[in-house]
Amino acid sequence: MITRRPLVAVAFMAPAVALYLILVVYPLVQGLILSTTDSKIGNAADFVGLKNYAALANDSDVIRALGVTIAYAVVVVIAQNAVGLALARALFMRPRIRQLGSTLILLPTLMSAVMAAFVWNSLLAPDGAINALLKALGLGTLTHVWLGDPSTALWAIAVVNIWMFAGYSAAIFLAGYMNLPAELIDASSVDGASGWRRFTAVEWPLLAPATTVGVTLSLIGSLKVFELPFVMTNGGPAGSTTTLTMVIYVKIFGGGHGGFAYGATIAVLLLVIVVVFAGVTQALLRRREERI
Amino acid sequence: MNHSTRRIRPDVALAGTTRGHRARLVAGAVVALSTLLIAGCAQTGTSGADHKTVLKVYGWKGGDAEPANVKQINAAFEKANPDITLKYSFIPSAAYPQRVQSELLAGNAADVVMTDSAKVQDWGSSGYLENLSSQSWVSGVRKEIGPFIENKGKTYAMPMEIIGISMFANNTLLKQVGVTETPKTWPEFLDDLQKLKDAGITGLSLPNKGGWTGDATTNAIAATLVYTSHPTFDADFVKGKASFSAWKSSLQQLLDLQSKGFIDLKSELGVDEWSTGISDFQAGKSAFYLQGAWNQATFTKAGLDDSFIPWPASNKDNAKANLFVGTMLSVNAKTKVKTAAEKYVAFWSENKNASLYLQAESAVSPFTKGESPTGAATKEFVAAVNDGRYRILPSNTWLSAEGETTLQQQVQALWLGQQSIDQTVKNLDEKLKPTS
Amino acid sequence: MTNTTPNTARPARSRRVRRGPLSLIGDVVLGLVVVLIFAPFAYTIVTSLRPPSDVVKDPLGWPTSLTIDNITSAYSKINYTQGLLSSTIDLVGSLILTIVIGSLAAYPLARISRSWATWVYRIFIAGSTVPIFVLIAPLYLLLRDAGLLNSYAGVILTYTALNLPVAIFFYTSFFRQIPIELEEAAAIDGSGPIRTFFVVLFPLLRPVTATLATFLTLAVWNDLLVPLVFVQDPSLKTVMVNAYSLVGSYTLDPSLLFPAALLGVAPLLISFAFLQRYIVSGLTMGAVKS
Repeated sequence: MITRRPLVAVAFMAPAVALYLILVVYPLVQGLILSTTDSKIGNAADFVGLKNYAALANDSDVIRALGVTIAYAVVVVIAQNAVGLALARALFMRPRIRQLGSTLILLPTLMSAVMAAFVWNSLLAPDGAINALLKALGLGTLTHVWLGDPSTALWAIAVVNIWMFAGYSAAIFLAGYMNLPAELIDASSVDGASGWRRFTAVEWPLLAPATTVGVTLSLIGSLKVFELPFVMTNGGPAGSTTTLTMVIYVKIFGGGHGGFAYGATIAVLLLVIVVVFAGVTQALLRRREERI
Repeated sequence: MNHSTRRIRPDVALAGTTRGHRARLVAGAVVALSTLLIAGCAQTGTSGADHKTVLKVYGWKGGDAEPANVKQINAAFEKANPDITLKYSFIPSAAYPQRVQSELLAGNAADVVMTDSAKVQDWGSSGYLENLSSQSWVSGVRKEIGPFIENKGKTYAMPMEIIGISMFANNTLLKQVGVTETPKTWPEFLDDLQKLKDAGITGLSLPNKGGWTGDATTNAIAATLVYTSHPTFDADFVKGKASFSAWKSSLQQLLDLQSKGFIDLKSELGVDEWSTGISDFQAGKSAFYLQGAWNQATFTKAGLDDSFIPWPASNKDNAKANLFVGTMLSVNAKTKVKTAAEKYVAFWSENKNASLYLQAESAVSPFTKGESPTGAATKEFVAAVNDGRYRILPSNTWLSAEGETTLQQQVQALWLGQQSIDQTVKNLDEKLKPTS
Repeated sequence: MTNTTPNTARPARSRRVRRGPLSLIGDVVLGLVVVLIFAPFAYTIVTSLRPPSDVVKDPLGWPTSLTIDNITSAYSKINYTQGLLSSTIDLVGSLILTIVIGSLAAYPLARISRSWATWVYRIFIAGSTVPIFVLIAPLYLLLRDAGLLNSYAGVILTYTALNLPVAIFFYTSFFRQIPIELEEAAAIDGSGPIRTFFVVLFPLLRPVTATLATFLTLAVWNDLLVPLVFVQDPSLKTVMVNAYSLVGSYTLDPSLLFPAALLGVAPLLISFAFLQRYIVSGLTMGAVKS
């Protein structure tokens, strides 16, 4: 029993922890230290204490990016996992097409953000396919300048995000389904439980580990989102889709008057936010796992 | 018992032959370890053979998407310098700063690196670039370009091009409505747009989803409306002696075009300027369009009959050309082959070599005695530059990448109707002023 | 909440559950959704097969003529076989290393509830939040000092480190689902932790490993930044890096990029098609002999 052999436990963890400490944590700490300097491009510079952090509080761009990032993450995590779960269940119930189906929905992840942006730019253009479809269905009043209107741009990008990664979420839930004990599914169906009942009473609770993994990964991923808004709207229009990671990027590689230190500061802010959000979510989900 | 619902019996599970599986795991681990070992020994280091100097160069041009005649020029260099082996590496521009900046910090970057005005400021001021002030070509650089290749009075780069960002006109469409000459003044421009509108042709397209077109157009207009009367605006602004209220008329021009029904700015915000926008113009969907001169090669290949002209912003025929200092070449301060590196840079400054590049890029030479291509795309701009009727985008001061982002967002906000022109110039004054 | 019968961890096969008429609607909706998700990808395939001039004139149009010129030209431009070799080495190395040390580490993390274990877990979360371009410069210096630049080892170790959090999340969550009774039974039988891990526990998580391997494959194969920054030698460049060198600084020509990118991911598609069968059969073999 591993719990009674702490030395063995440490030995099991040692390779992963060592590698991680060296290649990730160490550079991270260096970045942290640099955030207390006035380094312009990442070179050694003078210590300025917490000046950068104080500047954060007054930086309206950072604060707005914070709001954009959180709003985006909330919507994407909920919607993407919901869609993924529905897909996973549907595929689980249809074993014959499960293989094909799960491969097909993973295909969007094979496209890079640049390729996806190219395709969706045409679809979402004012005279593009989406608006054309709406008009054809008689819903002409719903047409928008999807990526050019601050009230829709972020959500349009969220839809693309969900489209790209719903397959991921589905794969995680599918793995969860495949791990379910056979007898329970049998027993409940014999009992005549309806689909919805079966789902809420039997499947959903037992999918808890998959839910934890799926929510955690999508939460971290969407809080860190960079490539999609970068290539689709470049943070526009008028900054309505600028996420925190984009602000960091511009500061570090913005050129001219490099602000590596300030960029590192914002990265630390992002780190704190993600750790807090992920921690809270984990705690809630873990407690649920234990109850089950 | 139902075949598919076997329970696991832990004792059986243990004893059961997962031996085969375990063997596979062990084999897997062995493979992993050996891969690492072999890989670790697969260090590849190249050293120049047979006493030739090896010169390494990085650039973000010269790949398959933007060949820019780089290969030809490099071949000519090798031929003229048989004692030097040239190793040119194309690095996509998206990854360029991350890769090269890291390498400069670590001290193992190439001997010659492609740079631009922003990198000259960042890397030059941090001491990563060689001081080239004593090179022979320095005195031949146009006066106005000096500030872009210098940091604190020292020259750190050789400029390869100055390239126009201005208006393309589709001559075929213009001829269709009886317009034989491209507009040189604002009233002519409005006239042309009206004729096009009457004929049902889209007159002007300014796709601005990414913000770039709005920023570029505003600058192209300001080239005439601001810099004719106030040519030192950039330096003055940085010193706090000028304000963006001088730009009000420039910002107003596009709003005027909208109110006259020639363009729908909100709709333009939904179109991508780099994919849809360019291919739309190439396919002949609009008569006027704003982009960089580097697109000329694509348009020519597609058989488009077009002109490239300064934006006709004023009532008089005195439009100023809007130019951007493009790629440059710098020498790594830590290079071990300084002479070869400097030779390479000087090679590129010579007319017969540089003109190949300028031809491909449809750019103008940054040297006073430089040879610029004379194609349809550069004709007007070369004349303007030789006349002194031009203005260079201040990418080395307030229009750095960060400044561009600010300007782009402000213009987008203006086009959305979110703020007035007065509010916009006020924001620009506040956000673009130098912080240190 | 009732603790139902211990999860016998026998992976569930398809159940012959009763499916009412609603399931027909479900079929249609599922089919629709899958088509919608797949459609844009199909578009890139179609675009790659159309002549470039057609694409410029009518990007979303129905193809009137097809050509494989784009693909053959891309193939010759991107040094395909050598790129493929590099990508494969990077991938296989990273996969094996990440899965092995990730699962090993997750086992104690899943079982031990002391606070130090939680802190280790938190460190993995914290590290995964930082965008890589913040870490790049110090990481570069580190690899240089370790002599790992320009080597497969350096790339593999970097990928492993960057992807460990995902592996840890997966395995920790799913390990917890395995009932402790199994381990206790094994311990009674005299099996040490190592044997228990390799013989009993790890095989039970086959679906998880399969899913994780899929994710890691996508992350490593498609990554552009690591091979671009940490590798100077062209012979170590991956196939996707070569494909994306066809993108210009400003514009994107789909007739150049799409065929190259599709060539790049084609090996993944083919592998998935074959491996899916293996994975599914692995599931049905299970960990049992009776």
